[in-house]
Amino acid sequence: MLHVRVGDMLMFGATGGRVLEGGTTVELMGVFSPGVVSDDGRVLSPAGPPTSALFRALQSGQARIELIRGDPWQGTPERREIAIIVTA
Amino acid sequence: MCDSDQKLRQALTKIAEVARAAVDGGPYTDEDDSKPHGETTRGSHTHAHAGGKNAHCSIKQLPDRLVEKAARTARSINPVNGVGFGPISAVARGLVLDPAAISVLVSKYWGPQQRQLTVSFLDGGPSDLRRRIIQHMNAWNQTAGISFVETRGVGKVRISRNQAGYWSYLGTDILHIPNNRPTLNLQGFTMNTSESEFHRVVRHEAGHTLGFPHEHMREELVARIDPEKAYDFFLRTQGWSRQMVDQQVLTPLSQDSIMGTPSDEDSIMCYQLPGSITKSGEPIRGGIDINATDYAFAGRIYPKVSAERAPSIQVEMGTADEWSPSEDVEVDEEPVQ
Repeated sequence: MLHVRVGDMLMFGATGGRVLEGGTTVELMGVFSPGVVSDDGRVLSPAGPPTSALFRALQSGQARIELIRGDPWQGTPERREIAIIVTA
Repeated sequence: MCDSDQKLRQALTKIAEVARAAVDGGPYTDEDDSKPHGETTRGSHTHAHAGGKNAHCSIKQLPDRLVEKAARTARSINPVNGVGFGPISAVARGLVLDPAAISVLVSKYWGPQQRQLTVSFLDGGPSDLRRRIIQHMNAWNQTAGISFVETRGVGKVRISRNQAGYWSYLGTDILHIPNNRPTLNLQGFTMNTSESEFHRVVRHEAGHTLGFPHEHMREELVARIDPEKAYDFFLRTQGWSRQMVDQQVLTPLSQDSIMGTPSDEDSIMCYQLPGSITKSGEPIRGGIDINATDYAFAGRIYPKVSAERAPSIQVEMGTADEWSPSEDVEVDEEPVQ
């Protein structure tokens, strides 16, 4: 169980994720890859699936999210559910 | 293949032939034009010139200060000219654009010179594991003139095992990554990881470090995927948005960004994709180890030039002509319409 405040951002190492319950309490901002701004202004990002799932606490309440890890292209991904309580 | 593609391939093949002839020590001859399509001539060519028998045509080099500018000009005129940072004829030596199976991103290519890339491990790890990882990375060295060697200092290739996923930055991009950050990640790899995973994952990621992109992003393979099935599949299995599926699966590599022709679903650089997302229902098999065509392509793009050969190439390429910088010619890099 995670306790967070409204406005907190939660970043997990994961290839995917979703909000199972409490979509008005917590939102999935997206699933991202790391990036580096190079000295010539290009944004460099590694080849490979995304590695970070980013959630944001929107308002007080409870939510349940699912994190997915592992190779998205083959096999059975590893799934983990996390309960979140958001307070003001 | 459409008519324009066919013409482009023929033109590229001809360029490669001309370049190879130059490197092999003899001029390209018009006789080569009369050969049936697909027949190539190997070995050196010599014939009499006004300047004397066996006169060689050598390619003159620009002064160093103009090399980068010339490369930009060449690329702005024709994206295909972005094929390397070294002499084009050295790149093209032995490279006839037959079906080459995998590809290399031209903007991230290390160049044809033999090279050793240093490797360090950001989170340490036992010596037998570090040795095993590098041994698998060096599988490419069976044909390619690039090898990996561990350093106690900060490597150009920096491996971590405690971040999420398997990934690597592409080719020369690793030089832009801050020294305290990994360039290649092998999540959770230990000595207990199966040998098959070392073959499939470590060699794949090392391929990215050599500049090889994902093979399943090739246009021909992306065209086999049914977008609606892919959106549904990755939403169910990963929670990915349509935008993420577009980025990860449905956006093919730009044709002018790669070298290498037809795609190869058995390449080590190709992921497995299930039949449930393809139009035909047939899966994209994906590679589980470096295959013969991967090895052949790596050997062509990163040739193993013998120590005896290297100086002769230098001679054939000639030395730079020098003139005063005030005489340099400014080139309008805008493409001519």
